[in-house]
Amino acid sequence: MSQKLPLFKRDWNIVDKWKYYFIASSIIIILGIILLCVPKIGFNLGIDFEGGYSMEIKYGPALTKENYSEKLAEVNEVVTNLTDSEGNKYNLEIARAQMQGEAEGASILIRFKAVGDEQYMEQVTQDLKKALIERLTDVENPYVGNVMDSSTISQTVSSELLFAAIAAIYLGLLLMLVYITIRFELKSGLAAVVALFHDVLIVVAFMVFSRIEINSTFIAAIITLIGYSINNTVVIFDRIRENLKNPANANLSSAQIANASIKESFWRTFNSSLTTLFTITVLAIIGVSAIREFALPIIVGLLSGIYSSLCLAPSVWTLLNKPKSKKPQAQTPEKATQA
Amino acid sequence: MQKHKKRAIIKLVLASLIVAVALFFALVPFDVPFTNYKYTSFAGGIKLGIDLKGGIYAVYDIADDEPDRTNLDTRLDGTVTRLHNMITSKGYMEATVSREGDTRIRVEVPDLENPKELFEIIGEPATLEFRIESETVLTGDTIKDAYAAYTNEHGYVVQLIFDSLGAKKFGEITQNNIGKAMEIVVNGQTISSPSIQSAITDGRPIITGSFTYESADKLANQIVSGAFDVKLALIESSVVSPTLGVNALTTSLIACAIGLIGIIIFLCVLYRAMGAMSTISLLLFVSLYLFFLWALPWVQLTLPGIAGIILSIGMAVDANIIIFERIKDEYKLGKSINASVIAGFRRSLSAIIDANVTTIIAAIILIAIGSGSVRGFGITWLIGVIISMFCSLVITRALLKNMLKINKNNPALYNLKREDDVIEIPDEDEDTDKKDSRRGLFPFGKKKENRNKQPGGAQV
Repeated sequence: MSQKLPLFKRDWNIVDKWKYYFIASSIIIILGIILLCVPKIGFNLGIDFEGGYSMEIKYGPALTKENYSEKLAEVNEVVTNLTDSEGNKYNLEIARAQMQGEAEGASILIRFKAVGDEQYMEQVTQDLKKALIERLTDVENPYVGNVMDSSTISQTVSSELLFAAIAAIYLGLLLMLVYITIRFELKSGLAAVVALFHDVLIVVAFMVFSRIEINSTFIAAIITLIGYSINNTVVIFDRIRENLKNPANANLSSAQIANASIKESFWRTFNSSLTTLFTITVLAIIGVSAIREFALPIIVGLLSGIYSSLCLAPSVWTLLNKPKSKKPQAQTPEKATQA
Repeated sequence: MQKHKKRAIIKLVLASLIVAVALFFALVPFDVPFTNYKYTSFAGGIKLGIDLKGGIYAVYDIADDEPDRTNLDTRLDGTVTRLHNMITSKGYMEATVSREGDTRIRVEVPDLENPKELFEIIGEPATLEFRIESETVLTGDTIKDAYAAYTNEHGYVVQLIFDSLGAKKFGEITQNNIGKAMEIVVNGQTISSPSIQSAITDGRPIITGSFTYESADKLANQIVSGAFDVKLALIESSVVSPTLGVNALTTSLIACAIGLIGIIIFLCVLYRAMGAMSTISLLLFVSLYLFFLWALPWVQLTLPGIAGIILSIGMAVDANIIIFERIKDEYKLGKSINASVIAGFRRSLSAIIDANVTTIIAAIILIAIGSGSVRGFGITWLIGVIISMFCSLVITRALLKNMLKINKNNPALYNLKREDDVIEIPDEDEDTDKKDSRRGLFPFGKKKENRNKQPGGAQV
């Protein structure tokens, strides 16, 4: 009979389907981790982590702030279309480009990741230098097209910074566990941290699948995600806490309380995530590529956060409550067996 | 009654005007009339990181007179780390330091407080020696940090901080030579020779002399760079464009604006008058946020920082959405509009506080143990969360109270709907509202009268 009612009049059975969530999430996460461990796949680490090569192209006064984009486009064309002597593309890509110096000293500095081993790269950079000189040399302007030898560049993100960031993530998770345990109880804290960790892993898997480059901003993206994603989970648990306190619900099972709380907080979670998702999506669409690199993991994390706070966290909470609450709930027949 | 209404309307108009003025100062730059002063607006005056605005770069190479040419690779790596620490400790939080080629090191920092001068000083490292009876007993290699400090007794001094090894050695030397004079020699020249009064075991001696702040600061920087594993010489230094490309800032700002407009439309469509009130408070939030980003000295806005702003805006709205949805729920169950609003705010408080405290925890961790841009991002975020809590809990509430004085009988104005079969609950006084008299989740749950036995801890 309940099937005929519209969605928001029916009782929801979210936490009862916990097996599906566990399976779906595990598949994504495990696939991601497997690919992460496969050599040559793993993360697509960007130049901030991997280093690469840089090349400086001198322009002198011919280069100004105004025509920089134009000149850069020209350089970019040469870089992306660079081929070896047999016409095979090198697939070189500019990772970062900057204008540096002023007037006589003005130049474009490009940085790119290695596309092969050291020996191979020596060939590539020599070819690139030649191609750039050919394309850019300007007889009337002796400054232009003076291409300096390429040099290797190290990563800009030191391993210490990375360790500090990872430590920050763990400490963050731990303190949130403590706070939620104090304000709610340990089971809510554990469920919330499981959901958070899940979101982080989903984003990691996404970065592996999508081959999006990982640069220094990724660290900030992950931490943002943790800080934001916990909000939705807290809202659900707040509702659960409130429903638990209500004496009228004293003999409901954990599953029933969780299901009803999810239903009641659905619009809050949905609407509040929608606004944030909207802004960050705008940023991803109109932003430059470095911004997209930063916004996309956050978007995926927010989506995963909606799912984990509505489905995963309450399910974990219900499961953690299961052995204790099984006995007294005998008098509510069909529901109790499902949970 | 009518008087009440009028006063409420005046209050709302006034509030909107104040917010409009705040927004004007936050966003619009203008020439101040009758003066040469150009007002930049809060937004225009925010210090920007090198990724958005560009800055100054410097390239160092191993100095020609560096005697030791062994193990260069590891020593250069060590130098990169120390140089990075030194530069970030000078306030250039977004600095990038990387190796270039075999022997060079490249540094990029935002153009704030004349980094060129610092770059030059780094390129003129100083050797530090401690001599007792003309014999060198300790060198500056074990110096961890040095900075200019002020003491009442000696004026400006250079405060040295040894690493643990250096501190131990220095302690032993001073212990064994009490009463003797210790020469402090910089670049071969004795700058002071105090006599050792007692053992200095904390590894934090000071160098006295007739310093000004500038000369103490310069010497401190030279001593730190003298302690690098490799002696560096400055090759070149000049301006550099933003690392994320020239359009990074503009596009991010456009995204912020579109996002904000989208949120405002969303709020007004979904919550009507309530949405309008939260729009006013949202715009106030934006102005206040920009003001603090502009006024606080340690903010350097970077791309992650802008994302932090966007997320803070999103979260500022979140709190209001949580409250409004709660108000809708309360109204659905039969309360009057007025009672629903009161209950909505009260019942959402714990969720909002808990959600924001968890976020504040995350931000504080970033500030405490993150470095560089991660820390900057944490600061931006923390400021945002605190202002957003104030706006959504205090400002929106005050505005909505006045709105209710104007009209509290038209549910359509607030987009509120009753559940089909609900019985209207007459307005109770606020005390009964505190006690939980709601019905249970499921009709088959055992019905209980207002027994108000609250198991478990009290709510906020």
